[in-house]
Amino acid sequence: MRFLDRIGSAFLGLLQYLFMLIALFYLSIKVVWTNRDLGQRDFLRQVFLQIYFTGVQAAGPVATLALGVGAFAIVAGIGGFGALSGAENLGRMITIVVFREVAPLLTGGVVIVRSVTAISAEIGVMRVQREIEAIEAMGLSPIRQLITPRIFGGVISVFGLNILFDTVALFGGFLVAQFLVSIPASVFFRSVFSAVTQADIIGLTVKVLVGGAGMFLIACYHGMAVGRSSTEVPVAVSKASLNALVFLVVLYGAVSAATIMYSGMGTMMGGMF
Amino acid sequence: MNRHENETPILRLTDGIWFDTGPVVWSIESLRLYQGQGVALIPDGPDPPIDPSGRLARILASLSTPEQGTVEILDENVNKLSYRDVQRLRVRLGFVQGYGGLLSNRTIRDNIALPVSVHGNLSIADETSRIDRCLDEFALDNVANMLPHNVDGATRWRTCLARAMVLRPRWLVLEGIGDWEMDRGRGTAWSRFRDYRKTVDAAVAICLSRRNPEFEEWFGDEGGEIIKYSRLHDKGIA
Repeated sequence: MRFLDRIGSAFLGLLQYLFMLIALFYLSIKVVWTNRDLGQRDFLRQVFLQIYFTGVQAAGPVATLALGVGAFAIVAGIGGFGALSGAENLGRMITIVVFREVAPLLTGGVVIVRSVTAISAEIGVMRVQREIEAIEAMGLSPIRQLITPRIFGGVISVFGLNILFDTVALFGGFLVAQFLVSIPASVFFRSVFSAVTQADIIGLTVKVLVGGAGMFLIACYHGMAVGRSSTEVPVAVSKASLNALVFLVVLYGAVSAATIMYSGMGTMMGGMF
Repeated sequence: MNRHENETPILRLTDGIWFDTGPVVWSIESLRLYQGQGVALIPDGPDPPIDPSGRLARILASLSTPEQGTVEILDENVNKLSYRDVQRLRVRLGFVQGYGGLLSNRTIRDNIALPVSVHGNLSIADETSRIDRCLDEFALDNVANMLPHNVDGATRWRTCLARAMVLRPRWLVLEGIGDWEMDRGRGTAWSRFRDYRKTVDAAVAICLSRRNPEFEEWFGDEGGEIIKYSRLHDKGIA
């Protein structure tokens, strides 16, 4: 009975947590409308700063990762399928591995390590130092001032980083692979682009939008949940990063499963082997 | 004839205000504060285990609500306002936090610029000139591009005061007396504070954590009034 109690309690806690995140998301969108008469310059500045911190500053690490993953996937694919005879299958494999799964997951990982931790720590420290109260005292909404720009900037950055990852992984990976084996570019890229389906694009869009917004929402929520003690900040950072990672894996798993079901698993796998 | 006879008070505490700080519950029977008036609010009796001045300052600045009683600021009952209306009300008052509360990721200049850029409805040129004037008045122009952690405590407090006054509110609440002990009110911050009270005719409430005879005398000379609030109930520390 005690075991069931614990499961029930954990489930209720999860529901409450999800409700709080959804409520915070609703408020962060609503405040854009309700505070529309307040100066927009500072709001846009905050969005651009977030794009700079999350998107521009992470471009180097993401491009490096993408180059490595792209080169590895192409070389491994060539090893498995052969350079010319397997070019069609190689394209499909690259699409599935890089475009559909690895790009959003690794990009999300980089964003969690760099930005989710930074945002939860920053907002947590702002809570401890009563900077958020100062924002309220100025007649500003802390949600509009701190959370909404981070979510907007974060989603735009995650979208941009995914595009960057895919581009570098495909083109850069292909160039690296050219040092090892020779494969005609036209054959390779035709097979890659023909393998991309509508379901892949919808799936990637959902992953980027929902995953991006969710990660930044989780970061902001845990930052805002810090009380008056600085010892709560590291706890908030670890909770935010772990929860964001779990959220990302669960969401991406669900979206991938839906994509596979939508595309027709048989067609996809049958075409590959 | 009383100057304030026909005026609406800037602040009105009615219905027997009491607020809980943990070990002690404090009470203010009633208080009316009119334009141009200044009060320093001091807890009565021996030093309490938890400083009540922060909570009281937040009640006066609409950031907290008392456990009992009605707070009216600029003729608005704070308890009955929507969140958006409370936000609008806060734009019309200036609150100076005791420990600064400056935004650590913004420079001194940007801290002062924030309320102006959001609420000022000014062109970029007018906004810049108002901020420059404020920086100059508070002798902050040489540290304008520094972050708050790069300047000393007195400068931080001066910045807070500048930020609270930059929109020229008619109602100022100060949590503590900042750097007053350093120069006994003769420095830049308190000179500006005095000038501000004269030019804007603002009402001012300063919440002190304990008695400070020297400050009380100085404040009395400036035309301020000392008000003591009392313990309603002493729960002690368990």
